[in-house]
Amino acid sequence: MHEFSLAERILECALEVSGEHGGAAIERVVLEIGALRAVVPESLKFAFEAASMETAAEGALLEWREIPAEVECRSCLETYCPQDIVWCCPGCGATGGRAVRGDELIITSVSLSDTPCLEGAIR
Amino acid sequence: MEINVVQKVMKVNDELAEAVRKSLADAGVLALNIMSSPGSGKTTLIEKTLAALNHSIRVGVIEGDPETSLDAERIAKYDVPVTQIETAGGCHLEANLVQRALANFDLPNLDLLIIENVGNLVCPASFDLGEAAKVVMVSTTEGHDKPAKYPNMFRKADAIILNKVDLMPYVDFNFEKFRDYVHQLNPGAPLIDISCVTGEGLDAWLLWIEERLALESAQPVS
Repeated sequence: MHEFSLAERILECALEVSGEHGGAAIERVVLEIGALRAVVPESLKFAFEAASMETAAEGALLEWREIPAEVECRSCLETYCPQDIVWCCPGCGATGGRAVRGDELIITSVSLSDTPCLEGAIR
Repeated sequence: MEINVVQKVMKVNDELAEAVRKSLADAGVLALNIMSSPGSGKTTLIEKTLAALNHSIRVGVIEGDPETSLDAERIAKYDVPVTQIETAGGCHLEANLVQRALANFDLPNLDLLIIENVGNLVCPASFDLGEAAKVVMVSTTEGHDKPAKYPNMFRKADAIILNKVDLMPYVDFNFEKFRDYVHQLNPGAPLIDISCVTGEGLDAWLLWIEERLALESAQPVS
């Protein structure tokens, strides 16, 4: 359940943004999650909700966009979207390769309330 | 008010991992991150490695477990510096834990640092610890389908060890299928078959370590 430690990191980033804006309450955090990140978004959402209790992010929505995997073939250097756990180049048939997309775990935006959150609610 | 941030969630871990990597490189230490399921034989492999090296290479060991210092106690018998990291239930090591543990070692007096990750074939693959190479171990008693079920871990490995080959005749393990999965997922990683009980294949493992050590010492120190 590495989602719990990832949720802690996401919360820290979001609280930092809130802190830079006077401790405003966090309404929404938007992520990009790569298909190769081995993150279960629903677990991450659950962990984030638990971690954010009694902070400026309590009740905030965690939303995400999934980024598909893209692999560069180790043989012919073509890039392709793998269709299976075995990365097999549709051009030359070579297996394996280097992931060029799909390993993302990025916070793209944090939405803050115009009204500041209650005093003491920033962790 | 929507604020665009674009922050890598792993940024803090990755920065600490880079700091660990630099500390190790400056001291000329090769760090190996050994990952597997619980019970596949990581600690035993480390014990056999220490016994075979017999202090010809200066080795330090970091042991990661959710609880207890049982593994560190086993390793300490080989008279090498060892630090146990207890993750308090955590399912993987992170770079900050390794960085903290490094303070317990006299790095310039080490050649090799073996990091035994928490037994788990999922989470450890997601966290860079600042190691030079990732080693994934699987044992015949776990079944030949582990690479197919946990591809992320096997794709990221620099070497893959199959342990308990002495038990192959007694368990349902199809070596050809296993080898095919491994080669399809990670054609570049060597597959080293070993038995920590009979000692079969340990030479190949030690040779791989020697090659990595030679590679490490050939790298210019930044």
